[in-house]
Amino acid sequence: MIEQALKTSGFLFPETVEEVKEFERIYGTTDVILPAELHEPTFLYSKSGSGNSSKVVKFPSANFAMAAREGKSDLPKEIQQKIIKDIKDVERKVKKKKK
Amino acid sequence: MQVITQAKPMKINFTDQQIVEGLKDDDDFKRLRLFQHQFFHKFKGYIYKIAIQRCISFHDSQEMATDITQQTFINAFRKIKDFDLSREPDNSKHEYLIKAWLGTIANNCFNKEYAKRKDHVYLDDLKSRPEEGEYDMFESLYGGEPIEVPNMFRSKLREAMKGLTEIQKHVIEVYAGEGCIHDDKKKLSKEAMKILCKTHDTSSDNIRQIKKRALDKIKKYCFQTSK
Repeated sequence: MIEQALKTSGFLFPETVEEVKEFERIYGTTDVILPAELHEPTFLYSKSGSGNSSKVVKFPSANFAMAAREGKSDLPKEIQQKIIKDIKDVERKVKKKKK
Repeated sequence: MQVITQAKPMKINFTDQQIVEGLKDDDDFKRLRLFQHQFFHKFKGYIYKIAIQRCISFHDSQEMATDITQQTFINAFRKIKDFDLSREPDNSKHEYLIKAWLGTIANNCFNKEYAKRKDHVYLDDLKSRPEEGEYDMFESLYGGEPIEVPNMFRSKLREAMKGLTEIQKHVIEVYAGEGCIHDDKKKLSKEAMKILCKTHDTSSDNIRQIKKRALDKIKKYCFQTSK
């Protein structure tokens, strides 16, 4: 049961049809709003598949606001908290720079 | 009264199988690009959503999840010729099969990114899944009979995972990814063990000890009975 729960609770990417179905049953199929680097697949034509780290300066408040979700599709609380923390961290950094 | 309607750009809806087949035909770059866009836009949200959950404990979780998502699609397009969706006659299963297939690629990408962030980059060693014998690979996407997991157990497991060290968490995830927790007799593949040893700069005996301790912790937390 531990293994099945790990595979369908976001600790691992589901790797079978049944695991995918179970994951989507729990978390729904609504997407999160994506960071700017994933809006268009330009990395396919510029990165040459080398897997470089994303270098674009990001503002999580713009990237991470979550899409309106249908009842059961909420992300776990710790993830929401982490997102809020990331947003605050970046905003603090930006404020410091401005000063 | 005459109504003038503005011409709208034509939106073509391809089936999953048409997209996958279109991705295999690289003679016409424009056409290939169209299918790459279709495929990417359809599945990027799914991959990123899980990637961000997997990377949550990293300080640069957003960047890591973005890198994993991008690399998953790069690798998927490289391997797409070996992915034969036409073997499943039921069209309604195609989307699940693609997501499961992308999941196997994404799990490998996660391990690579994890190793990179630990400053132990051994790209040649990071093949944790066979790339040959795709027939078996396709069959494995169907998996076995599902086990029902109560929501209460899921919450407990999430809490238990929070109580593990970073190494313990990673080791448990790799063992679970290879199906070695459910089946005690099943051993971790040599490739996966090599990755764990190199990433965490330790011996295989230590990895097994770490796995045992982590699993004991999880079991103690999840299966303890309230008095």
